Amino acid sequence: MPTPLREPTFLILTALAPEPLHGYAVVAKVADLSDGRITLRPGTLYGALDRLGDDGLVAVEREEVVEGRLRRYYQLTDKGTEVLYAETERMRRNVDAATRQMRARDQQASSAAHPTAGRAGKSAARPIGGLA
Amino acid sequence: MSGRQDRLERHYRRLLLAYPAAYRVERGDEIVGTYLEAAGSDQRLPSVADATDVLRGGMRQHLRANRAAGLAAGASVAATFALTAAVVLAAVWLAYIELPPAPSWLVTRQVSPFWSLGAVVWIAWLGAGLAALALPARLTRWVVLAALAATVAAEPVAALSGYDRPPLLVLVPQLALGMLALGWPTRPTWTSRMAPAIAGTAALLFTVRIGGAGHYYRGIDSEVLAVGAIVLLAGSLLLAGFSRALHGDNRGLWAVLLLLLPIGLLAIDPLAGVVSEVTGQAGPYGNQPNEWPMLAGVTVVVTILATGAVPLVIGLRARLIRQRPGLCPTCGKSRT
Repeated sequence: MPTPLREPTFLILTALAPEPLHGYAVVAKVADLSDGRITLRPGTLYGALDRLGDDGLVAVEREEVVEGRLRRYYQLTDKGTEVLYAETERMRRNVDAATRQMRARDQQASSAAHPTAGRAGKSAARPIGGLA
Repeated sequence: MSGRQDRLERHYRRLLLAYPAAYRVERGDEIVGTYLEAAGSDQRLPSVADATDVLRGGMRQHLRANRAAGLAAGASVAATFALTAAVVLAAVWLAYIELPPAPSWLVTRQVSPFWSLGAVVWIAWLGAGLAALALPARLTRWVVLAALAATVAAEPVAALSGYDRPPLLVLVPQLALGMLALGWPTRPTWTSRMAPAIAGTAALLFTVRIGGAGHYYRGIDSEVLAVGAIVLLAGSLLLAGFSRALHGDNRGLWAVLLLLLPIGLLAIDPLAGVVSEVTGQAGPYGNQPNEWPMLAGVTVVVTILATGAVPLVIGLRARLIRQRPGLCPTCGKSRT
């Protein structure tokens, strides 16, 4: 599986992290995790699940028939969990680096606007907690 | 289950014929079930987006069944290269040929202030480069389709109206590049989005700076096209190498395979020259322009070889992987 993972792939693995889910539940969970930005269609979802299965990242846990419809539940494998941890860590490091850079940028802008405050060592940096 | 749901299910099952038969047996019920769960309560027909999704998914499964799933990813890479090359060539032809004043003895009917109908074609391709930068992928594909239509229309419109047009030697490779560019990725990276616009602008500025020829002149056209072929081949091979070394995937190699057709068509004149030399049909000085039948013949052979290379590689690869069951059906790499 090429890394970094594409966003839909990352979100499918994330959706499966807590518990096994069937296809439609994965679609709903991915939409929820992405605040509605990403709506997977079944053709795309099952194509992604096939690829993830080929790479040994997800596996079928069980099958059920509900109201005459077949449901397969997919779960994250140990390898899938490892890949998800590694990818999350990579993204977290990127977010940390970006947060530090933007904090430095805000501090420089603040020092330029208020030289006295800057010399006194008082930082007027805008909080960017949302990125942290 | 209601009559409405029965009808909807039948429609989805009909669309599912796009998938390989074996896959339908294994996954058909599950996929249709998921579409029905996702369908609105008053939905009677699959939406256009669903139908496209099923067809795209079916094509992907056919490739996967033939151990060529990487071809889809390669097509996205090839589309970026193809659109960038198409925009760069459009910028060069516009600034080098269409904008400078054409010699009066050469012009039959000018598309003022430009030299020929080619200006419309090249402006359409520059628009496609800007669309890739600024518009969503779906709209970008429509703009590419419009540029492709303008390229196809150049010959019949010139024949009907009497206006000048660029030579087929220039238009045919542009068509091949445009066909590949239609595979523009749904979620292009920023590098992909910026590449056509940046490379096109650089080509436009460079060509304006060096000045223009004012007319399509066979020797110059062939040189520009041959340079395009070499840059496209070298660039795609370089990316294939990096992609293999850094990420261990084959998408770059699939992209090179898909780009063989436009690369071959860009190099038609030098290739025809080689064939003329080898077959002893070159002029007494060995440097005379290749005749139309020779160019047409080489174009047909290049088209057959380049398009045939894709199914040939897919077939050979599928056979190799079937003989070695330890290989992944998606990427072809060893699972051990």
